[in-house]
Parts: sequence; C-alpha cells; structure tokens
Amino acid sequence: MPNLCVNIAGIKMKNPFTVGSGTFGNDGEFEKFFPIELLGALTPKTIRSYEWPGNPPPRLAEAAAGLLSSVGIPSKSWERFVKEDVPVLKKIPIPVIQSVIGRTEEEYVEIVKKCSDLGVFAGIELNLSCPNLKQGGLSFGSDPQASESLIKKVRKQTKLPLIAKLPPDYSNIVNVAKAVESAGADAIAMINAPRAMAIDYKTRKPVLGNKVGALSGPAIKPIAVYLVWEVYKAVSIPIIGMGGIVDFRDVIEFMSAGARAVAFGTINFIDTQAIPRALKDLENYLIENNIDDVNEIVGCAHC
Amino acid sequence: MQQTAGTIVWNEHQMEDVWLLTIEVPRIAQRIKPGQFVQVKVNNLLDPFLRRPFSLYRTFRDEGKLQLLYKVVGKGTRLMTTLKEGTSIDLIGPLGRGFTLPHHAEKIAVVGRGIGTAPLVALADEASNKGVEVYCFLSAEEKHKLVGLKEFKEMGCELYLHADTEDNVKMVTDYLKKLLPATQFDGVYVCGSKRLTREVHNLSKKYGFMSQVSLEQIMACGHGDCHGCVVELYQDKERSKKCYKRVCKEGPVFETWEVVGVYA
Repeated sequence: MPNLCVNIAGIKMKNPFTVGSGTFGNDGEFEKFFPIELLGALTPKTIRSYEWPGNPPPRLAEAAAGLLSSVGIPSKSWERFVKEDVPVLKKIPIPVIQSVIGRTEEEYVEIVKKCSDLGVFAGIELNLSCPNLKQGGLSFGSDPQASESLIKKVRKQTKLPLIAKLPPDYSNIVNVAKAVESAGADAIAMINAPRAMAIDYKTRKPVLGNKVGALSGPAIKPIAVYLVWEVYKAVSIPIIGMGGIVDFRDVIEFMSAGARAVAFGTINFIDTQAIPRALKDLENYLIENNIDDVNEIVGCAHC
Repeated sequence: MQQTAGTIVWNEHQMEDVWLLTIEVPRIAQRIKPGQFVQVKVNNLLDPFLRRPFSLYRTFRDEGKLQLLYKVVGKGTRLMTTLKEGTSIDLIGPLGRGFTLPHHAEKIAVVGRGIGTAPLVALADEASNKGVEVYCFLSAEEKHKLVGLKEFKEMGCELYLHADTEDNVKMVTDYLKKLLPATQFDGVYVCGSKRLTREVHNLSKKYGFMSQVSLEQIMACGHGDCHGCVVELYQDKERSKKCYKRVCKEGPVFETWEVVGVYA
C-alpha cells in the first residue's frame, strides 16, 4: 500500500485530506455521512471571540459550476463554544485544526490564545480574509505588512502550528505568503473564496442580502491551482490547497502544483460521499502509477 | 438522514408546469414524515451545481416509494422533467423538521396556495390514515391551478376552494373564519403564502389552536452545515427579538408565531 501520511508543520495527517472550515459537520455532527477517521485532519467551523449572527438572507445564489454565498461566518459565543463544541471536538480521534477570525489584531490575539489554552487542537488556522476594521477595511491577507504584524502578535500566543489562510489576491498573494512565513506562520491554507456578486436582471439589484459574497466550487479551481503554483515557488512552509476540489483528480492537481494537503469544501454540500470516494480513488491512482508515497507528487508539476 | 440512490418509477406531467415524480427508495420512503424534504441531484453532473430540495408529497411505505410534486421554475426542475423511468437518482433524506400532528388530534385544517399545497397532501394523508378529520382550504391564481384536489378528495377531506380570478377580494381563509366559532381544530397547517400564514396566525391567536407553516428558501446542503438557507424569525414567544434560523434544520416547518411574531 502506498504511504498517504503527510506532515503539515508537525500535524501528522494519515492522509492529505481535510475539509474547508464551515463546510462540514456543523452542530457537532461530524459523522452524519462517513466515519471521521477517513479524514487526515478535521477543520471545524470558524470561531470568533464574540457572538456573531452572520449576514442577512438571502445568503446563496447558484453560479455556473459554483456557489455564490454570503453566510458571513456566524459564530456562537465563546462560552457556548466551550460548553457545546469543545467536548465533542475533544473526542475526535484525528488532529483538529481550529479556524479563527477577527476584525482587529486584538480580536485575533484573543481568540488564538483562548483556543490554544484549551489544549484540544493540533493547530490553528487564521482566516485572514476579514476586513481590518482599524485599517480602512482592507483584508489582513491582502496586505503583507498587516499580515506580518498580525502573525507576529498571534505567534507569541501559541506554540501550536499556525496556518495562515490567504485570500486569493492576485497582485499580492506571493508577498503576503512570504510575509506570513517570515513572521512565523508554519503553513499556508489557500485559497479562500474570491469576492463575487450577482445582480438580478429583473430587479437590477444585488441578489445577496449582503450584496457582495464569495464564489466557491469548481468554478474557482483553475485560479486556486495557479495561486498554489505561484506560492509554492516563493515559500518553503507547507501549503494546504483548496478551491473547487471535487474528486481525486483535483487532489492530484493541487498536490502537483505544490499543496502537501488538500481541503474539500463546497462539494461537501452537494455530495456527502465525495471524500470517501476520492480517498479510495487516490489510493488506486497511486498504486496504478507505482507511486509509493503521496509526498512524491507534491510540487511535481514544477520539475 | 442518508445519501442514497433511488429508482425513478414514474415522472408524470400533471398540469400546467406541475409534475409528479415517483421514486422507489425504501430507505428514505420508510422514514420520511410529512413536512420533511429530500435533496435531489437532478443529474449525475455538477451542472446545475446544487441539489434541489422538495417536500414530501406522498409515501407508499409498503412499496418503498415516495412522491415529489414539483413545479418547473428553472434549470434544475426543467431537467427533472427529462428523468426517465427506470433510471437512478441520487437523494439525501429525510431532512428537516416536519409537521407536528398532536396525538389527541380529531380534526385539523390545511391551508395551501399553489404548489405550496404539496407538503400538506402528505400531512392530510397521514392524518386521515389515523382517523383524523381533515379540512382543506386551497387557493391558487386560477381554478385549474389548484393542487392536490384528487388526492384530498380520495382521502375524504372536506374541501374549500378559492381562485383569485373568480374572486379577488375574499381569501380562502374566510371559509375557515366562518367555521371557526363552531368548529374546533387541533392544528392548522399552512404553506405557500405569506398572506395566508398571517391570516392563519391571527385566527390561531383568537381561537387558541396550534398553527404551523412550512417555509421555502434557496438551499445548498439541506442538512444544516452551510448556514445558507436562514430566514429571520422570532426567537421566542416572550420577546420580540429576532434571529436567523435555518430552514433546512430548524425548519422547514415552523410555528406561525416564529414567522409572524406573537404581537403581530
């Protein structure tokens, strides 16, 4: 059998598969459709240091080969998270990477420290796509200086592997990736869903309650693969690739571009069996192609 | 709840743009309750990308079959009309919270408008099988667009019908209003119209019966994970505070006060 284990900054995954935060197993129901042990790591829903209702409806619109959404990362209060979610997460038999977000450096620092102190998580993913309220609303992840400053501050709060999740900003993503690496991030997750919107031709008004949303699903995959390709050349920390993955072919594509692990996101909404099927198919692919170790394909498209 | 393959038994044009899909899928058909729904993958491609949610119309548990009544409104439902007998169809279900039929119920009323009547047929079916008397108040733009007439008649329900084209002032709930002082209903269930929901709610306050409404919203997953299908509803009976609730998980069936508000 080929080796499927990968190591993301000390997080030992028995296969390269995780899930995009907010796309899998809400309400602590992680085994609705398959045993959680099939995943290499679990990335549950993003948590904030404060309660947040999310965006007004409608939150969804269908796009060609994708989903336009403006859910707005709703979050329960920290107290409820500790009471309701943490006991479930503690029992998860695979590494759990907790995704967090903030609107200011202080909020990131607070939530990272709180999560780290729980002693439950194998790593922390920082969603850097939130607008920086104190810096005119540009997202942290679009600005190398803001990213660097933020990572330096949260770095002091935890010894856990820190994974910076980057927005798909063409003009800056390589600089941001270098900045988070130099500031002490242990890995990069990419890409977050690009900003997008739809306008109803009948009313000539935005479809989404929040007006602006983000596009996910197969529609964004070529963009994601390209950006992974660029960032892989620029940094030496591992990349968790994501953006429109639906099957094992996409997994191989992302890994060949430079991702060491991959996340299944929006496809979980449509095909609850996508992950188990892709895992089996990946294994068969490696056997058929005489590849002993899945790590061999990481970045292989560059050679 | 599970993702499973069913077999198309029959896909039949009913009237106008309304179709009836019969699927053999014992694992869902034997568990699903009135008011719950299934997520249908309309083809085996990722175009259209999302599944389409449909409330249960009828079940034939012994035969392991269920029926969905659907209206052609867009790409997904248009493709569904091409589904052929004997082919396989991918479903997730049963999903959501269905209608509550009180154990002691002797008499209920269903109030439906247009295709929104579909889940009420499932409820009337279950209720009449349990010996509960069902009164149906049905409304549509035009008389020939009334849904479920044949089924309700077969179940022996008492029918009250209303078409906008024939009477633009009255509402179908006016019939209910007339009956109410003398008739006690153990539950009134509404679907398909905000106006009728408000009417039913106001009557429920006056006469003290339980009233529930089934809501519709665009959905991605249908099983609680994506938080995409929320609607803004009242949080509790005591306060006027609102919050977001998922139609797929906390619903699709809600109490009418959650939608209309206690003080409305």
